[in-house]
Amino acid sequence: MATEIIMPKMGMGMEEGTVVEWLKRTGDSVKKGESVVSISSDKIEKDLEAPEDGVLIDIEADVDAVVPIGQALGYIGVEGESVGHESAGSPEASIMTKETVSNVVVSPSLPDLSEKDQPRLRVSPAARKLAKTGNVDLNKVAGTGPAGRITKIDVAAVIEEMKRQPAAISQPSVQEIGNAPLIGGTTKKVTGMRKVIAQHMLESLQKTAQLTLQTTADVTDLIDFQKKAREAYVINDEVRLTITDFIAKAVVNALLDHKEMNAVYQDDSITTFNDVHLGVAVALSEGLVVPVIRDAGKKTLSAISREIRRASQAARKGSLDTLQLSGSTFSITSLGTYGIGFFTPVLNPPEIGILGVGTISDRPVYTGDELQRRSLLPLSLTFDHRAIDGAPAAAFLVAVKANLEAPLKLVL
Amino acid sequence: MTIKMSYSDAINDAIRLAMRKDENVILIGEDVAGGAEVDHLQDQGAWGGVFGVTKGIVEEFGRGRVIDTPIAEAGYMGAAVSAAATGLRPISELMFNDFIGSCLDEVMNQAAKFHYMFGGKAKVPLTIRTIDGAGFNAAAQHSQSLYALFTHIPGLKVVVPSNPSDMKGLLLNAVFDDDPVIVFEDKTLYGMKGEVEEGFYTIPFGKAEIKRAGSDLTIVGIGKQVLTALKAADQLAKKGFETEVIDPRTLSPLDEETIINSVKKTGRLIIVDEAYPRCSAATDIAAIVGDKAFDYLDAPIKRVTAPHSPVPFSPPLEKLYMPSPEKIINAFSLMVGDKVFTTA
Repeated sequence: MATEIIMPKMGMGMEEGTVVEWLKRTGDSVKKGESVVSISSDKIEKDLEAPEDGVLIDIEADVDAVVPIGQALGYIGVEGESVGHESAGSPEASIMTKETVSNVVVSPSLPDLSEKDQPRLRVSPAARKLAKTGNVDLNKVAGTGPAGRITKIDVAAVIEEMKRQPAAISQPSVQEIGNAPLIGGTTKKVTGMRKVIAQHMLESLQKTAQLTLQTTADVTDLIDFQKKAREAYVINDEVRLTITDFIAKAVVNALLDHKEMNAVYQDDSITTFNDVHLGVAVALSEGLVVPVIRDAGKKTLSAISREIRRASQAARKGSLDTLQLSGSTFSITSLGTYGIGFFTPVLNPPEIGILGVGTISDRPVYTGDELQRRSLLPLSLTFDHRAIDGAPAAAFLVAVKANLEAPLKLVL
Repeated sequence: MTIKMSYSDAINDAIRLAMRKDENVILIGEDVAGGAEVDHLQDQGAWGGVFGVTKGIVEEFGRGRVIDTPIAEAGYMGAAVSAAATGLRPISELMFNDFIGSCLDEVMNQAAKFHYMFGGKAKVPLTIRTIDGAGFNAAAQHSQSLYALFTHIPGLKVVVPSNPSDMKGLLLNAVFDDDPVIVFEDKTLYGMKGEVEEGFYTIPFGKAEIKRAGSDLTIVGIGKQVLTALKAADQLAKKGFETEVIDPRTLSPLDEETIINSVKKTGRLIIVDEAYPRCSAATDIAAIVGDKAFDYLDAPIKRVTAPHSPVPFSPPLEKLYMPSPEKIINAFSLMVGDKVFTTA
């Protein structure tokens, strides 16, 4: 009997995924555990493994197909077998395939910012049909019918609104940029992680009111302290305190003191959190991922250090799952290793803040009347002005700076 | 040219025209001649049925073609079915549709089945005229609207005229149709006046009439309830909602197309039917629209019907029992979620 390869649910908020690439063709034989197809959610890209030895007998969802979770992408069976549809959806088949993606652990204790407590959408059939043809996300439509039911007129209003602002959505085509035709070059269709990033970034810049504040932290003392601490605190290879770890800790402590920055802006409401879940951006060759250090406010410097190391290694190996990549309340991104000073980080919605860390450089600085050689760290804080005003945002950034300039406090 | 005539006169006119046109047309039933040849009643003229609908017909066509029968529905209905099967075009009057239990076999198992069971070689061009409708303080055994029972049975055609003009054209079409047809005469409409075309004409079955065009709501009214629907439509128009009111005119065959096209336009449907609410014309139309126009519905389909209860005799209770414009507007307010329209 053929076994389905199903679109897995890689997180509470996931409803559908995209087929990025088939690593096997119909008729190819596969071994249990071998990667068969590459899929992406809005958070991560992932390879699905063959649930058993056999032959890929049928591909149901081609590349770029958007498939609801639980639906078959293809079938593995014995050579010459055809897909028996009575087997589709059999409990046996789905259990077997679910095991192959079992590194996704759904724990009820983790905060889910997207879907929890949301009742089923009430939508009239006519509204549902119109939304489909008009490409309208029903989650973003306010229903005016009985008990909030979304009716045709509500969807029509959204479509009308979309028509009125076409410039904001459509990008100029290549032909419109200049009269001279663009010849040559390599064209690559935007798919997978690149596509996810593209959408996410565009949405961030279009739908938030973000701006960036900049300041410099004097990290001369911190560098000294870090060197000493690193030598003094070698237990094993796991902990090797870096400047990044100290910065993370400084940010976490500042967030605990300035909870208004530890928040998300979603569905016209601002939710402030007591627990800090810190996103730390990691650059990969195919894009950027932001693993999350959970409950960072309750963790020591060495614990944070260990987790950052693990997360970035896992990210480079591509073995992070959705939960490790979602639910952050604030993010840090760094271009320090590339020699960049100040920059304008782009918010990772629904977060309302992101700190951009630049490269440390030695400069002459007056301390009192004396000119000294000091090591300076450029910090760029992007915040969402819808959620927080300039003064409290500045206060937060100054707190980060103060924490970095008094490193001893970070380990106390 | 049209003349103003009552629903009752339109029936009388249609029967006379049919009988003049074809000598095979006969009229049979309890009291249809109305004592025309009873000696002591001669001075008063013939009464012609319990509501006087067939008054005077016996005088024109004689006892041979206008036949009073004993109070024995199974007997005369059986005779009418047989006469139809053997060459006549009988118009058989079942005084109240509530009495159908006494002659259901003749209608359901005989008249409705002959054409099918005899491979098309037999036909039963029978017209049953019967009286239905509540609102006449006639209590539970003389006030029902049982057209759904007949709509349920294949082989019967079911006609529910809502006005004098339709009544005449549909009744004439029934008489000259080769299948058994049952025509429902709402007793509270007999006095209703309307413009009626003079002379012979027919209205085909299965063609609904759009009584009023609108884009916000479709109301299908069954029989007399077309009038209730029109009143509700007037009130809704004052609040800015345009209602399309459809009179299906026949329940079997049913003009699904007109109803579905209307719902496609309006996205909302109310069916107004004074019959019992279960397994009714209302549920049937709701199911058809739910099936065939699902993607066009913008609100739940609502049915404004009688409750699942016998028709009460008490006049205030009977009034409460019937559909009303207020009930229709309340149903609409539930569909659009606007409390402004809630009147009860």
